[in-house]
Amino acid sequence: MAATQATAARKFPEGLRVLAVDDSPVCLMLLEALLRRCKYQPTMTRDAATALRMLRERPGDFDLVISDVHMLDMDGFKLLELIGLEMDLPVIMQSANGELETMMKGVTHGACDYLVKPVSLKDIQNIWQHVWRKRKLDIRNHNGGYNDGGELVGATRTKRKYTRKMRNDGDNYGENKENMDSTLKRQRVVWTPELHRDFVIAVHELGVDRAVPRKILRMMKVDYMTRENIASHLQKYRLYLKRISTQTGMDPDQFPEKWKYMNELDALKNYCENGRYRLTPAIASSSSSNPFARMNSASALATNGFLPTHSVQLKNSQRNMAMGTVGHGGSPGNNPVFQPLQNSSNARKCFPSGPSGSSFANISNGLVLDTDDSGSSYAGMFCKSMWETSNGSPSCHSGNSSANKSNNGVSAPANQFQVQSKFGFSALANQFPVQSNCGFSAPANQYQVQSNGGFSVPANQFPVQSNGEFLAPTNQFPVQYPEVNNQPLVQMNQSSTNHFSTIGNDYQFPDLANCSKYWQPTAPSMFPDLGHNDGTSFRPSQANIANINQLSSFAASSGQEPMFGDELHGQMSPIMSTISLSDFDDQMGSFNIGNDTSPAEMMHDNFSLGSDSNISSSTPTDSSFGSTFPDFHLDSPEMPAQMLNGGDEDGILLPVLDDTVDQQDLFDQLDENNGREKLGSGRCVRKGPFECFF
Amino acid sequence: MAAAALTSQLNALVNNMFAMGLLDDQFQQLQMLQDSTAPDFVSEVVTLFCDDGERIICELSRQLEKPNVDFDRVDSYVHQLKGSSASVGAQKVKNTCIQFREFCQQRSRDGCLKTLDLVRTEFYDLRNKFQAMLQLEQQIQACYPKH
Repeated sequence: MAATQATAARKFPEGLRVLAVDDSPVCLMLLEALLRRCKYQPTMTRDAATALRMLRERPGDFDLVISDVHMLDMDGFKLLELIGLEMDLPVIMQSANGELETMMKGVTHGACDYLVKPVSLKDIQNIWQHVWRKRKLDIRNHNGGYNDGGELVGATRTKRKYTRKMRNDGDNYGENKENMDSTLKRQRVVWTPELHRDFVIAVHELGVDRAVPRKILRMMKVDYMTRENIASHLQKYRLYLKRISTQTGMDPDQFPEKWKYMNELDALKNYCENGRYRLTPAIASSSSSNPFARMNSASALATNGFLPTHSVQLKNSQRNMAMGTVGHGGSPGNNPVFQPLQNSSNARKCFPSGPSGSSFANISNGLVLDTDDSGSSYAGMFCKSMWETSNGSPSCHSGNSSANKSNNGVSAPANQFQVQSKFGFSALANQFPVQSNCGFSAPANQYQVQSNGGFSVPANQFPVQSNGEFLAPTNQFPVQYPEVNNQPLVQMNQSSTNHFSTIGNDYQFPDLANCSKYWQPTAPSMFPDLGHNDGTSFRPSQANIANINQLSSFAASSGQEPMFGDELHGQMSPIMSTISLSDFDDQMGSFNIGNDTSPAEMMHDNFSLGSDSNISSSTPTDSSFGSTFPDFHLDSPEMPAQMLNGGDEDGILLPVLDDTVDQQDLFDQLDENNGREKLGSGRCVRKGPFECFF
Repeated sequence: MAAAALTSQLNALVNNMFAMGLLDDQFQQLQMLQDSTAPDFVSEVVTLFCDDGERIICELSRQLEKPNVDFDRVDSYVHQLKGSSASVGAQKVKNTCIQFREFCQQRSRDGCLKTLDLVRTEFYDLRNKFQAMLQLEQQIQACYPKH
């Protein structure tokens, strides 16, 4: 495979169609000579307006744009911005000015590279990488699982055909190669000025903060466009707004000034656009304390939030394979730890309609951008699509809540603060840091949430730390759950045993137990007075992965509106691109998240939580929660209020099922929970020491 | 024989330009890019540079004569000249352009005018040498019968 790729790569850069814009004829001539020497197909123009016209008129005809920064007729940054918004082409900036500030500005505005004049042959020889990277990203997006229906459009395009079979065969590279060899063209939505104008109008009518792709699409009434196209464009547009509001250099034009979006989002979007990661300071700092995570479940496959990498690949052709590493600096393959997780067929049996652990995602925090009330969160869709992809059945209902959607390892964005997800899901925090070390973490409204294991639901006003399995929302009190340890999860569910019982032995999550071993010594206890309740419920030992998986399934299945995979396309693209997934069958590999720590270390010895992860040895007694997150609205100001803990007041449901569980009951219960969502207003799902405080 | 003499004259000229710091490595890059597919590449680029540079310098002096100097515009032109000279390896002109831009940023008209003179001197000096160089090349080519 590597060989064929190399062949393709050797042939590939030839004929690369490059549009070069420079108002200096001398530079242009040099550039042309360089491009020709590299066997590219250059098209030269001396002014930006012409370049833009060519790009608009012949949208499929170029693979890459090289633009000068200083041009008399148009600022190169402006051109860059327009190309980014309309064409989604990689753009390389070049300038005689090599000052750091200018270069940064170029990169900030979405340039994939910045060359300082005189441009050398070496520079030009390497530019194909940007095209390759972008293309690969796109292909992966396709593979990652949305339907063919998600593709566009345009008379000049050749329609790619990806069959489900192809997508599932686990060999993405084969497709890449085929694609690369056959044509350099790729699917692209052409955002003509008219379309963009309509888009802007729609966004403004809806309000920037409330605009979601679906509504925009409805308003634009463009039938050949899909929600994904809109979503992707919206993402860029928001980034653009963000940039122009933070930079005085850009003319805010027709766009509203105010833009409050979080850094993570930006980073993610930048990832989309640039094909590379850029960490915002907030992310960088948080991720550095984010040693790793691992989990067997789909849920556990989540993320270090910010850094989806290419290294996560799941294929059913490999069992027991390492799931890969998420995060910077981690390297896949070093993580021997993975335990057989779960048999997805079992999971399916139990949860025919939800994504069970067999599907998962590596999703970063910045990911789930827009959900509307109808509950089309990307995460959910993502899950669904994965589920569909892997099982061939569209049976997963995505929930109304983003949290649902965030089940399979999806972590949603934090609105203004950092989010850390060490493993599991972390949903978004509206204003404060969220850390989820394992399991799910739902949004925190104003304070930080830390979940070191299990799920964490939104905390409204206080820090929440969950070291155990599930964390329900707290309104006024700090909550800490102790490390995961050696008691069956079922104990958490005492109050709801009629609904849930332990799942079979099929699912084991031994690593969790190990984790606890390390956690305890390394993590300071923030609330030592809570005491050490070893015997109490929060100690899933052989932590049944199934719990988690099923929990995820529940959440996912509690949705109200079936969604399909292709919904995912736009916003999820960064994720999709980083994960190749196929059907995961028997075993999940290890999952390593972290930034600076070496994977092996993280996995085995040093399960130390980030500096801000506090692990308490105390265990709240008999708190059981269900954490299905039926209503999780991302990207909306009132989002946190919607985060729901699917449980209801009698302190339910850890959806741990065994085969004897009557599923109908279970789902009924879930439905019920859904019906009662709006927890944000103060429903508490727990009993025990932390009664409802709302 | 004449061709050999001319060639050594040409080499001496080019070497002298390097030695004086008029040219830098970029010029060698240009020479490297000249191949069978672009046999006259160097002379084309150099000719273009001479014309373009002259145009920019005229434009600059016109801009600086205006009662209200648009320094941003001046800066753009200087930047263009800098790009051009960097592309052909005209090191001295390029370096002077860097100074020029500083004066632009300081909004110093006097500084700009002074540097413009400097740039002009350097540019014409270089242009003369380039022209001599092109002439020699033509003579050398003329020595060989066309195939």
